[in-house]
Amino acid sequence: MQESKTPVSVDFEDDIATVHIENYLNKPAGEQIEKVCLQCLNDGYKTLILDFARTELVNSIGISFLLGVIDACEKKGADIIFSHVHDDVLSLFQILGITRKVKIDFASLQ
Amino acid sequence: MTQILFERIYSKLLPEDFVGRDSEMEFLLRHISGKTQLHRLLLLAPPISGLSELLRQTFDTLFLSQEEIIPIYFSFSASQKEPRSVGLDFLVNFIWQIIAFRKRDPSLLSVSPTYDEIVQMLSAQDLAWANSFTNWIDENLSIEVFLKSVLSAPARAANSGLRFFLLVDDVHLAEDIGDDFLRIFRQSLENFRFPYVLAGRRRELLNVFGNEKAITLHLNPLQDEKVKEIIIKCSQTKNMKVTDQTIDLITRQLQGNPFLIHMLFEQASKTTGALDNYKRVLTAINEMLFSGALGRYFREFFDEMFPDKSLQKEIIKLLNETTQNDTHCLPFIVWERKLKECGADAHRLVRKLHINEVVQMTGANIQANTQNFLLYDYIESRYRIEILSEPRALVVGETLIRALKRAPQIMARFYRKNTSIDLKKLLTRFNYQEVPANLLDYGLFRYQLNQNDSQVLEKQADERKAQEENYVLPQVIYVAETNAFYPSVANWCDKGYSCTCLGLKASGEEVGWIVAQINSKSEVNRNLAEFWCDRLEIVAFICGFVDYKIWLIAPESFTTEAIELLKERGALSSNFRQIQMLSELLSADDIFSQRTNHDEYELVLPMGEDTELIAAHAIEEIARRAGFSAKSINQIKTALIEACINATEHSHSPDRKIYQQFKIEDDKLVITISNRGLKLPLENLEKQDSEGRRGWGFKLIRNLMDELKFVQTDDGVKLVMVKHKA
Repeated sequence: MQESKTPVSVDFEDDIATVHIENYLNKPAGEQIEKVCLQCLNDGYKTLILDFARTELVNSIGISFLLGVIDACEKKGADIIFSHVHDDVLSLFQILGITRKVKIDFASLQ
Repeated sequence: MTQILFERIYSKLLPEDFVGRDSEMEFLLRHISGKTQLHRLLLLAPPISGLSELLRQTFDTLFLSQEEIIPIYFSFSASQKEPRSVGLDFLVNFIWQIIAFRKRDPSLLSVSPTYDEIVQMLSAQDLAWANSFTNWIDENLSIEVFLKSVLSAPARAANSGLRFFLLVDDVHLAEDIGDDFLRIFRQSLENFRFPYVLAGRRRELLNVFGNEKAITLHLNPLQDEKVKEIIIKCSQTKNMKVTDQTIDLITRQLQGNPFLIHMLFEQASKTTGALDNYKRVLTAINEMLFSGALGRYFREFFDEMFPDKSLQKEIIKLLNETTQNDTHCLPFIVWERKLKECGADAHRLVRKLHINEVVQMTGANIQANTQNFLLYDYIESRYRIEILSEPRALVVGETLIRALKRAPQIMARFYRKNTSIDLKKLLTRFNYQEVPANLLDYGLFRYQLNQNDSQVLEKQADERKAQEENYVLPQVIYVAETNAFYPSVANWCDKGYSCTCLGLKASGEEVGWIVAQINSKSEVNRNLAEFWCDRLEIVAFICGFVDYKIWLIAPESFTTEAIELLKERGALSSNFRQIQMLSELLSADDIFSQRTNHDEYELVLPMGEDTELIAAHAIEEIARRAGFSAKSINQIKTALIEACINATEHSHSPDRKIYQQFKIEDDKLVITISNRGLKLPLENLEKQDSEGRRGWGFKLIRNLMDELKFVQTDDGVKLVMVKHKA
């Protein structure tokens, strides 16, 4: 099943929810991601995969919403994985210390 | 050192308001060291060029900033023509300025001393050479002995070991002083074995002193950037709005003259209030001319040259007649005949006008200096009001209308000039170099660019031969604007667009080159090429060139028919690309005056609605063109996005706009982001760091860019970010 809602879309498989993020992670995209992820956690999904395959640009406001998602996962005991992160975006996550709080699917890195 | 609480003594401007003459003042101050064998420095300038202010600023600087060298400033005056009083004035000034310097008291310079005061205040050091000065001014001495005596005071002082720097201003006026004053003055100068400056009108000083040994410094017009600085400074001082457009207009209208610029702002502060559009600027200038300081200045200028009012009227009439002529030129005999009727010496009067650059004496003709259109507006209005008795209001109104009509033309000439080639500079580099013939032959150049062009294929064999040939440039000896050889050129060619040079061919024969830049946006066709060839050949004829070359330069190209015609006429042809290549060969890259700066971009974006993405896309293209790596480009884009977000979130900007400037400098990209609104404390901005989920913007920018600087502006903040090429 696929729920499509720009700038974010979600795939579900077993107890894993994969959230696909569009090109620009800004405030509206961040708000949407946080909302969708919290909903998934409330629905009992134990693993959240944030797929950055299409994300080439991020800003600090958009990133700030990821922290909300990371905190919520911690509280619910769920796993959060960042996949297909572009090099440039990954280095921003590193600068801000986010990579220490999540698992990175290095195999998927572009 | 004694503290003197004076900011200025003789100068009219505060040191911080005296802009654009740093290098000239430095040159003057270096001359004091006297290391050169030449003691005399000739400082030459046209009228109203700020020359006197430069000397006065130099005097003040020396007086107020050091205790070793005594500055002496003396200026000849148009109103003082009696030789004995001029000589006396020179002596008293000389001694009194020494006394004021010794006592570290500039206030003394504002009073005229009596002989008793001078004797009383002379220091023991100076008594040795000056104690007998009352004998020097013995009224019973003949005028020649008297003048020799007083004018030798500096030499006597120097012989006694006194160190001083003598600045003599308005030396061109010395000729008007009777009893052979100038001859005696020149003789006295021969004994001056100390550094001194003779300053004044360039045409007169070159004429009088040009053949004598001296260091010569020409006071050139200020560069546009300096003029802009002065205008902005004036607008800030007077709290008066100007725009980029009016700054350019003021610069052109007032010919970058600081004296007139200050005058304009003074006038506008009383009348128009702001100088933010053409009409306001020109209205203020018109008021300056008809009821303000400029009109008074010109009146004094003419009164000094021609104190006799009826003669002055005749001169105004003749000047107006000269300028109304198509060529702005009248034969000297016309002037001579009319001035003879007034019993005047035409040669002497015209020479005065020539020295003051109102006209130019070109052989048998008198050429009006119509470049100085403010002066000629003044002349024409005086002619209409005083001679034709036209109503003053009508003349004032029509002069303003004419200025308004003329302004776009003046600006158009300026804009065209900005994109033109400095022909003079290019031609002066010619020195028997061998250059590829295709750089001087557009037909050949085009053929090589496009060998498939069917029209040139047939000529391929001939062309190939020509390709192998080089062209030997002549050695250029003398270059001037073509209108200096043939004034009528001004009727069909803007200043700077045509030059004529005299040179020698490698074979030793004389040759003339007449070069013209055709201002055509499209291809130059046969008719246009013919028009130019015809006219430039007239110039060759007028100049009596036996051997000459015509060279046409066009921005883009010439049609095939035009190329054929040029070949028939033996003329050379080049487009800007060829000129660029030629200039590189001749190391004359600086001939393209103020070409568009392709390394500077500006963008104004509304805040919000993800407009930072527009900026990010723009900077991506700019950085890519500048050769930044993909990684660096992404870093720059992210930093720019953060800067835009910061401006949007924190500024409370009243216009909701972000002003962005991107500049490529050597191997770096400089991004300046500014906005109006709150002035956030710099320390808060610089220390801003992640607190909770927000406030990461500057942390990212600092990490992504190589340099980061915040600058407070009057109404907001400016952020300057720099990224170097990896």
